[in-house]
Amino acid sequence: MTDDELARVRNKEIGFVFQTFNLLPRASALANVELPLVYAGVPAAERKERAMEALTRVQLGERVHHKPNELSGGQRQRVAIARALVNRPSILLADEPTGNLDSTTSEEIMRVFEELADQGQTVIMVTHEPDIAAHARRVVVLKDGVVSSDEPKAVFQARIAQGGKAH
Amino acid sequence: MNFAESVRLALDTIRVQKLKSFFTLLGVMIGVMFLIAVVSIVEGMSTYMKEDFAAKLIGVNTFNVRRFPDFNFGNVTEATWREWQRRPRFYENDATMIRQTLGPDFRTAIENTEFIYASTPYARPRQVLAVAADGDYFTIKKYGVAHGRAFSQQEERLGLPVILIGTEIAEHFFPNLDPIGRELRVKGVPFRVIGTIEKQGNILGFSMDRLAIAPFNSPMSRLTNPLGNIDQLIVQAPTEAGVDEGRETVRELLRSVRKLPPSRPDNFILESSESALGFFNDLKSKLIVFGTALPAIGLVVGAMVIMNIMLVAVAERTREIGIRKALGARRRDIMGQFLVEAATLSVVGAAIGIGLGIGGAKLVAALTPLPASVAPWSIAAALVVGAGVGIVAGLYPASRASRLDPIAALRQE
Repeated sequence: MTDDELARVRNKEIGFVFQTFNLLPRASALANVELPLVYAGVPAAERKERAMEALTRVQLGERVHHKPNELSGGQRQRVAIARALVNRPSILLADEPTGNLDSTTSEEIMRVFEELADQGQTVIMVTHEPDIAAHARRVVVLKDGVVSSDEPKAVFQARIAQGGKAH
Repeated sequence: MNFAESVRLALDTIRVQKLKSFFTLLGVMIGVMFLIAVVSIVEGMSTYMKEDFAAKLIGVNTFNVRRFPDFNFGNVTEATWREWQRRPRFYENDATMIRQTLGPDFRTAIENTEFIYASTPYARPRQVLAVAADGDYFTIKKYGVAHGRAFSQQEERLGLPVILIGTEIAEHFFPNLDPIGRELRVKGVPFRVIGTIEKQGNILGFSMDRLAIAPFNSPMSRLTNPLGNIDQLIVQAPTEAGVDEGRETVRELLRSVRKLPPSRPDNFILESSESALGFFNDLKSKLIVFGTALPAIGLVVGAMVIMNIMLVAVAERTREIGIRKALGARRRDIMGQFLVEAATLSVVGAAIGIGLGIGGAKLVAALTPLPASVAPWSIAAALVVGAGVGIVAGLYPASRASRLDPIAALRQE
């Protein structure tokens, strides 16, 4: 694929959520969420509307005009999720989305992901923590780059509960 | 990429880093400043030459029939000069013939001039621009009579020794006196002052108020032109379109009277303000070329500095570029963003330069007799040049930014 085709796939088909949030520091939450729409060529009015909608979906309807450094870690990650969602991607890729968050906030973020999954959004998440992995419907364990297990949520949870190792 | 956002980002950068931005933009600022100042001063000179110099000395819709040019500025070769000296002189009957051919629609005046010493009992002798003139001289030259009166028809016809003088002459020769009715001796010949001429002011530093005008038929003509010839016939056409028509009429007449075959050039000159300004237009184009070559160096330096700053900006914002690419920015989006930023920087520099240039031109106008006038086209040109410099300087950094691999860019801290 050419560079432009790759850019289109990143823009339309995949939403990224990073461990370090990767928001633009000088732009407001709203502007950050609007960014993928800017590159998709969506007109300004519709852009704002859809960005607000995405922010509401992650329960962040109020603090939209704040800059990232005025938001807590959990709020930042919600902005990042809203940004990943705003173009209605086929897949949402999350790379250790809770890695920089405390456990309470992590749980909040995981609830957001669960709700999205319930609404039919495919979420693929990478994590080192079995607790976090336990939120997933399907858990694929990778060890040294090789798949060591691929189980539904219930089986994985049972194995962890018995004190078994994740991998 | 959003144009307004890129512009805002660039302006933010300038605001946050004032000193750095100042040095970044110094080259463009200085380049544009000199560009505006040089163009303004040259344009000002040009306006001055056209409106004050040529129009006042020669007049509107006017040409002078002469033996050789009056206004030649040091660029006459020896051979040209000798050719001029071989030309036939003009006499009063030539003027009469031209007047009859042109008809009453054209205003005409014979004018003989010479710098001659004049004296009165009240002051030291001094050179005056002695003029012997007839016909519509005062109307063409727009010399209004301040005090006293103009020549009467009788005085003109009989050539009585009466004289009108400029304000400077009046003040010098008749200190605290009313000059009207008093005697002014020109090269010892007595003339009776009958009026003074309204103040004319200076042109290129030469006072226009040092003249003393007597009727053509008066003894003045023998003082200015001892050989009995005339210096020139001034012809004023009724309209601008009439000037060329009048010139052609006079040219044909003189060529046929002088029996010039078509192969020979004119052995006379029909001097107008345009032809008198020929030398200046040469000078002006040279001034513009040299005057803009110098600021161009400043612009090149400015472009290099902006390119460096943009390369630093790309390096500093690798992560931002990575994020944007991850969100679907195409190469051209990133390219556009950095080009707009570079152009904005440069245009801001150009705008400051325009301000300084206008200031510089105003300063020159205030300190010298040159009326520097800022040409609107030069401001537009400076802004376009500013944007152009920014875009050229931004091309390489922007293309580097646009080619960054998003994965590598995101990984960088």
